[in-house]
Amino acid sequence: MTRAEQRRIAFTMVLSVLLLAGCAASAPSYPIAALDRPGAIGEIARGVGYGSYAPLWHSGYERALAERAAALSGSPMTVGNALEIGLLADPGTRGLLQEIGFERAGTIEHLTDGQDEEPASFEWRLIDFLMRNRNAGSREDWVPRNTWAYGELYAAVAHAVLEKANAIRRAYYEAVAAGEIAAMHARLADAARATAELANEQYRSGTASRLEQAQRQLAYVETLKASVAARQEATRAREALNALLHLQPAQAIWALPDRLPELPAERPEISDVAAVALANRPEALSAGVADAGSPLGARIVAEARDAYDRMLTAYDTARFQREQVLPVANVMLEETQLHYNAMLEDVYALIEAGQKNIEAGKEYVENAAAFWVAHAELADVLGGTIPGDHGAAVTADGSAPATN
Amino acid sequence: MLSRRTFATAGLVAAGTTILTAGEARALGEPQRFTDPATREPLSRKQLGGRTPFVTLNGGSLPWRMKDGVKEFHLVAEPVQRELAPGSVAHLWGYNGSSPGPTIEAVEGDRVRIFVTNRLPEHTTVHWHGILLPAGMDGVGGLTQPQIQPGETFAYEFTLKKSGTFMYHPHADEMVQMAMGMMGMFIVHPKDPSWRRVDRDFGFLMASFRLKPGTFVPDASEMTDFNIWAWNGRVFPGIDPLVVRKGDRVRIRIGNLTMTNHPIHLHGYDFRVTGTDGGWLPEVAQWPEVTVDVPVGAMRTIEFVADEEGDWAFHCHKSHHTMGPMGHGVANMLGVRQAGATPRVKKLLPDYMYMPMGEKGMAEMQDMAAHMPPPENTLPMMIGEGPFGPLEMGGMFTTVKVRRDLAPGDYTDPGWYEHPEGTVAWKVDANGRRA
Repeated sequence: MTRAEQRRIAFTMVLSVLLLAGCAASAPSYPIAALDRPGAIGEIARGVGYGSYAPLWHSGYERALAERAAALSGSPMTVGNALEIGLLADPGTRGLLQEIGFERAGTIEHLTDGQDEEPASFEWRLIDFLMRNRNAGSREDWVPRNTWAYGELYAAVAHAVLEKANAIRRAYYEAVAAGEIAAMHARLADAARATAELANEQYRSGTASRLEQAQRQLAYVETLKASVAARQEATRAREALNALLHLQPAQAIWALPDRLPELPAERPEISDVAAVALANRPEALSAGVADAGSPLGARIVAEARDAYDRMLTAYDTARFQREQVLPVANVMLEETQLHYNAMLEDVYALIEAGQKNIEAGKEYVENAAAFWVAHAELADVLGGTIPGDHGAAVTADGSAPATN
Repeated sequence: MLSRRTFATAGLVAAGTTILTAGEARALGEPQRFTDPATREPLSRKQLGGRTPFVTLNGGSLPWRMKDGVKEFHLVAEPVQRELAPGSVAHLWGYNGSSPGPTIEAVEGDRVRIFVTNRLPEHTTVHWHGILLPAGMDGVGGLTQPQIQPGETFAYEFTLKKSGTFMYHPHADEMVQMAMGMMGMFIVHPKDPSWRRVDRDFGFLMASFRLKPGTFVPDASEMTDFNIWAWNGRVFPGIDPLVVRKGDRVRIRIGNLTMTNHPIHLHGYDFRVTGTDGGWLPEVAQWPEVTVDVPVGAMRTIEFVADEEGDWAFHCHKSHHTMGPMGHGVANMLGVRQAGATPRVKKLLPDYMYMPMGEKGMAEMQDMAAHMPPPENTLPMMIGEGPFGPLEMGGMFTTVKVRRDLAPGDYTDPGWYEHPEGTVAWKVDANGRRA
């Protein structure tokens, strides 16, 4: 069974337990009875008389969520916005909040307060909130994290939220990249259309044969098909993100940024990735695993190392493309322009050089997207945080190098 | 004990060519170098016993020293940098700082000793094209002598049996060395100073190079597709004009070391072909021409009396030889409407000042070249401003400038010809009257 599958099952289980706990009065048999012990979320919910106010709170939450989504939709969506909306709208999250009596407008205000100014790891805000408020009826709201009981419940909740966050991040980067790539394909197709038009004019004036004209036209058609496919992919990726964000059609008018966030300026190295994973992975904390000596510990360390290597490799690849390949592609274009100036090359060569330049930029976008996806996956296997990562992934206004 | 080398040397001395020891080579002194592409002041008539000195276009003649009745010259084969025209420098191989090397000028009957020092990275030889000499002096590496290794100096010695127009070039790794510009003229004046005397005696060698746009070193493996068509290592507008006084008897000697023939055309005159590298043509065998075709590996001498003033175009009649580097296989856009596609190309290249070209011909190129730079070290396809506008030339093109009012001995460029009133073609209006 893959880790993702394990997680899906864990998530489903914890949700069903919690949801069933909410209707405990009518359905008293629980699949995992251990979780319904005194002090568990379902118990608390019943204790605070949640049931009587639930419908009212529910609609308040709904409204606040819609308002928050509307407020954020004024500017291009950042990965932080996507996480926020996606996690708050997620039925699983809402089920959890409902269980502890916090599926209400105030929760959204509380959780999103300060997010715009200082984007942080929203999934941990949420996990903190869920765990700290599980005892809301009987204790103070804010309990330091180190006093939590890192029990099965914590592990299951954290696991579920982190998994969802990973999926949202991934979908976000894929959607932004697909949009950017589709725009590049549109430029490629437009350029190919110029070659087809020129070939038509050449044939009309008697300086190109029907064969040459047909060759240029077919080349244009191929480029056009690729552009259509890229546009379809952008739509698919955007809709996949919308699905994860649970946005209603009227709300799904987000503008995605034109470009992926800039790569981190420094190579994102982690001195001891295994230690970070063991210290932060909810499963490790929950099971009290501190080294790779156990099967769980060995799996956590192996996953962390693998994801770290993939992230670093993706970073190096993207940076190489940006810093080594793109400048060479630019030189090639500039030199072709000089050759065109001196009539040493023709307009077709000029257009082709422009297209190759776009292709190089497209490859960079693909590399950068691969990096951000790998970055999200690493965060996931490290328990949600990457040491030294100060929200670089959250800002989306970084500009990629000009790719003409 | 004789080393292999000294043994070989001893053998060669007997055959003719001599290898100098390092000390002997040093004793020759540093020879004169010709790094500036200007046309030099010719030798004095006095030096040539009253004969008309030879004018090497964009070059000069090599000085000599007399030793025991022998004229000693010193050629140094070496890498050189040659400005083809302002804006382009070729890294070539040549002699004494120049490609082509300096002209060797001597007189029929002279005994000459020519030292050749090799400062190239590979061996070389010098072949004295057209000169009648002992076989061992013919300069064919491997056939008539050992190759001159880098750092070595050889001496060639022979007596000039006849006057005429000759040249020198390597006969060692010939394809590379000639493609890199190794050549020079060898002019032997007649013993009788009055024999076929002329007032002005010019000459040049034709060379072609494949200098890829943006590069500095010719591609020596190119056999057919050359883009630099040079007269004495210069291309228009870098080729000096041939300045003569009205009434001068003019001789022009033309050698061809390219891979193709060149029909050399002079405007304004019919001339007579008076010689080849095989010798002088008897008067009855001379024939009139306005274009003389110079075959590969051959020389032609033409003569005329400059009796009509003007700036007369003088060029190879292959029109692509009077062009700078140009693209081959580029799309033919003559008459092709490009306005429709232009916005798309501009959109593709927002940082570039794209202009469609070729729709109305290529004359617009010269204007474009003024503000659209070519690749590094690359000359425009067409260039040059004349008194009436763009000249649209390049390569093997210059002018013969005939003037009545030149000061004695002063052949500096007199500028553009001032045409007498009413002697320039005029524009007419719809009624055929001067517009």
